[in-house]
Amino acid sequence: MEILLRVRLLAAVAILVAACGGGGGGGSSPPTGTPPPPTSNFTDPVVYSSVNTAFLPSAAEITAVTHHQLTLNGTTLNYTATVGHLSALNLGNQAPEASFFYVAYTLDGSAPATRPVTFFYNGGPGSASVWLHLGSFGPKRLDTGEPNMTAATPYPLVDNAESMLDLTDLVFVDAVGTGLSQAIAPYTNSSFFGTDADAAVFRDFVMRYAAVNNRTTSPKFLYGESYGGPRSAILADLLESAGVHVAGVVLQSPALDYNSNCGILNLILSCTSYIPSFGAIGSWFNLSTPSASVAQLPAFEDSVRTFVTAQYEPAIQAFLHSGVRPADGQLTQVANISGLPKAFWVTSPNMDPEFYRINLKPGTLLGRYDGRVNIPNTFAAGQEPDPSSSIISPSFGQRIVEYLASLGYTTPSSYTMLSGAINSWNFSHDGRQVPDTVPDLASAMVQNPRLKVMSVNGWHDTVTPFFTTEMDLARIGKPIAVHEYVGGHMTYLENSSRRAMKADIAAFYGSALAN
Amino acid sequence: MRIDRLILAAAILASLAAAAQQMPPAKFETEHRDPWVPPATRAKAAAEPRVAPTTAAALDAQVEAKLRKRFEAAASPDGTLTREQASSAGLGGIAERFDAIDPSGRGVIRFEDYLSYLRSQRPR
Repeated sequence: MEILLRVRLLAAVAILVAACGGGGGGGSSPPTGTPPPPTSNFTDPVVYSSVNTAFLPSAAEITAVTHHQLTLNGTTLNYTATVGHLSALNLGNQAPEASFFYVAYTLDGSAPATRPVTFFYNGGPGSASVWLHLGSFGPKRLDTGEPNMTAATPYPLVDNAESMLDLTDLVFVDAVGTGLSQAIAPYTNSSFFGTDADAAVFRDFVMRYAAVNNRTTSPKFLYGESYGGPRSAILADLLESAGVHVAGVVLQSPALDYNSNCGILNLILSCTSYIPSFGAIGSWFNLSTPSASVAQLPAFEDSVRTFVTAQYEPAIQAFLHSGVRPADGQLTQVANISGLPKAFWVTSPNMDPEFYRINLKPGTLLGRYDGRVNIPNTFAAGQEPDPSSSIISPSFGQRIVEYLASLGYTTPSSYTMLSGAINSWNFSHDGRQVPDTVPDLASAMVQNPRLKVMSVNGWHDTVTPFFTTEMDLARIGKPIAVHEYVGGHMTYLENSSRRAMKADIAAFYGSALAN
Repeated sequence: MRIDRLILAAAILASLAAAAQQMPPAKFETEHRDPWVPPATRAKAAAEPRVAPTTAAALDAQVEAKLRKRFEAAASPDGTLTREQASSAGLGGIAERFDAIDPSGRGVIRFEDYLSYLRSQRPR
């Protein structure tokens, strides 16, 4: 009798463990390669902090491990999710610097030494990797319904038919002071709140991940978004310098040169590289003359680029230097392209993207990240939010917490989606006040001529305009694939674009690995 | 009685497990979405002399300066670098290719040797 009861209790506990997220394994055993580690849940007792002065006295490297399945193109993939912390070690003295929180997805049965591994991170600086993690190419994604934004929130977490798990293992890692990542004494979080220090500690994380997981020989890819673009450029240079070779870099809507983007600095810079994006948004609302359909956009944008390069940019340089306004015909043409009435262009020939999104459709506020997303403009001047960001943010915040628990990891800590790091960030880099990381990317490509670079951008993004990125990358003078898709900064939220991106990324990985 | 206790224990375990599931809500500490720089940084950047984006030879010179700075920080005062010096300075990219950079086998290289080696490399 007593034995039977014990068995029942064990069964009850086993059911609890399964309910904690340990389940989901099952299925067929992997054919070859390293067997996956056993399932383990982890209730992390540490309370993590994002504040500048915070540090951990020391850090353990403990993970929760669960097993799952995902069907991609009719093939069932068995994979392991590993959630927890790893300590980045200083390249010089190997002392712990920061305890990085990460979620890794590894394909069961593959050989770790040859299987590609990709490190994903968002930007900010001060953003957790949650946007790429739950939005782009992980095994699960939030179904946002962008750009209509009429779906009920929180958005459902669904299996991701475009996951990159068939191409590569995926590691989503949070910058120090974001997510659940924190500095280790004698460092504080703010020790890494700088463009150079941040990239260096990311290098040390990548090296630690590779060393601990038998991945030193795995082909390595970097996938960074927005500020994650300049982070990738510097990180690729630092990794190559350290002898860690990078097979490929995917730049998602990168801000590679802060000195080339008038939306970041101010109107002392020319804003003309935004005009092609204005043309896409004006066309979306049928306000451009003529308005291009989505299918017509590539040809339409070719003509807009030509107009900007040959006519409007020289005119704006003259305007900025001597106050001479562009010719009347040029103002007519830019008004037709953008859909914004000519009177505005007469007043402000160097049109600011913020003005554009507020004034294109009177009474309607367009998104910064995605100019297609729009809401009634009921806001005081200067207080306009970005609906393409504010509408999706609460869902990502709620789902990441639930999702981490479903992967067997829980903590008393709050997951920091966006930290205040940006307010005290040291942006200086290579003698400039704000970073130009094109030389860093060029340096990585000189050290490793086989390194491949690809950029993915949204036609309707008005924070990192695709034309700016094209011109930034053209400086390097080497073949770099630049792709544009329907959508904003986070092109992967758009279902048709995520599918197209996956195909282009698969081709890119193929070419980088055939190298 | 004993059965009741066991059921109670299981119930307590269940509630503890449920409590452990409750992570606090995620935090948003700033309204600023990237790319963005604080006003003070923007003012300092705006005060810098405007320079055209570098390309071609000017960009090559920036890359070379970056590589030279690292090399010289690790090298002896006379500008020579051994494999050991490269390794201990974290320049694994030089250390692992030291023999190719130093085909004469002298055991020390200069920055010009490294640069010549890099220029001889071509994408496959």
